[in-house]
Amino acid sequence: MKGHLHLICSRNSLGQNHLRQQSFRAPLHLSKPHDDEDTLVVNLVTPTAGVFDDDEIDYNIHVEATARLTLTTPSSSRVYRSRNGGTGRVHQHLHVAAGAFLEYYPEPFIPHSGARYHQQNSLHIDEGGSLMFFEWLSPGRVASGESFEYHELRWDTDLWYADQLVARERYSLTPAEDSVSALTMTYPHAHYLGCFITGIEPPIDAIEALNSPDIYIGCGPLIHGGHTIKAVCNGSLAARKTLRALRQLLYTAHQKKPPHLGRFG
Amino acid sequence: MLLNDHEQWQQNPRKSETTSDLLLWLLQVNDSQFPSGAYAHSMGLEGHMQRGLVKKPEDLETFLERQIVPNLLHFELPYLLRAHQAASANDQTALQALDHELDAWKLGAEMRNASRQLGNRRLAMLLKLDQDEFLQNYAVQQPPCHHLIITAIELRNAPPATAACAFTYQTISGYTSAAMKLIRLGQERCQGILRKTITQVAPDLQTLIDQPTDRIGWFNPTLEISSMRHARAHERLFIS
Repeated sequence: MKGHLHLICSRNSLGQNHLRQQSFRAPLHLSKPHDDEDTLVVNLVTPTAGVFDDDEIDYNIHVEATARLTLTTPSSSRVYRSRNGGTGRVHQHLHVAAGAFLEYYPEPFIPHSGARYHQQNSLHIDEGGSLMFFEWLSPGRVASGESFEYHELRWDTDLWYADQLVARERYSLTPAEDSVSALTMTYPHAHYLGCFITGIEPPIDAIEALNSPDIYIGCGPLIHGGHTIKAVCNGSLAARKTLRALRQLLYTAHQKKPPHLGRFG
Repeated sequence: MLLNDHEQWQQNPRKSETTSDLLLWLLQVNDSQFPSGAYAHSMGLEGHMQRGLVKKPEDLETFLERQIVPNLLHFELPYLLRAHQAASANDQTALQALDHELDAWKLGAEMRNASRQLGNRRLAMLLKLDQDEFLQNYAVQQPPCHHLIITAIELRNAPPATAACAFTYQTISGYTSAAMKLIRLGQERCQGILRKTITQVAPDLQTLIDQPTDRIGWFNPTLEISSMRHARAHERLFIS
């Protein structure tokens, strides 16, 4: 299945955030966007169960000057066992203009046993653009006895700030080849959280104070224009608690209230 | 394996140094007395120790085997070989691009700065030892001078496998030396761990050279977190 999501978020003459253009195709669907805390909240839903072999999905998200967008998923993203050896692919191209704000806040990514998946994230932030880009990678369906049993996950991220490449990551996670050993040496069912931020000065001491026996978290500046936060958590509850606290801290630093996503009470 | 590589290099028209010159140069720049400043860095190991992830010699062995060797094989050595190829071809533009790109690859500020500091110290010392026009021209451009890039330049007249061996040794011996100051580890055990770890890398070096891959990178958020936290640790022995 080949799907796409193309969005352009703008602010109109009345000062309201709105989707100036939108186009999507299965396996993606949008719920009705709504404004909360001066930010347009767009929920991405997947009518199919998740990503299967050879699925290809393209995201093109543009947030124009002064507009504010929170893009989120109300449920976890799943990648199923590859039955024909094919790989599910997702390409995400996000662009944030000067003075604009984008929060990308997905629920956990759950790779099933035998899954093959390749995600490419290309994040382009103009100088003065603000970004909170979160990622949550779970070890799999732990409650069903599947932990790090996927076949291969490839994860490529490039972050460009003011036309300068400021972060590059290339992961090939194949649990059979020990490539997740950095995670499992901390916790046997470790959840990984990653975050890139621009345009917001993160409260590093407060973020690192989230450390506990179940949470290992660090934050630091990129070479230019932003920060990265990484955390390894002992299980999904610790991961959710961390992400929730982190989001609150970053919004406070941003001097804004976080839009209510309907799942944090 | 390395001899064959060396014999091939002997036939290379760019080769300008004799084998003995090269070997002596290699020994000098990899000696622990060479003032690159590496002794002041633990490259995330002290942070791991503070978190309790490396407490005893067995943990160090596991850390090197499962975190550092894979990082060398999947990221740093392939990157070094690209830089070595550019340096051997006298391509300063490509070297600078690789040097700047490393700033983006190294997400943790402390690790990024450590890599730059080691490279700059090494470059400054090399410039004092050798009237190397290529190095002088490179320094004038004021690039980041990551350690990996400067190592590739200093050994551009050596076969690629030799450059890869040198960088491997520098990296792993840096960790084992730091470990002696951080955990209860004697010299003999330290040498045993060093030997075991470098022999783990050796069989894969020729494959890296013969079959270069387009895709490089390694996943190690735990070491990145250790490094990020180390920058603000209340107590620390090492700069990184």
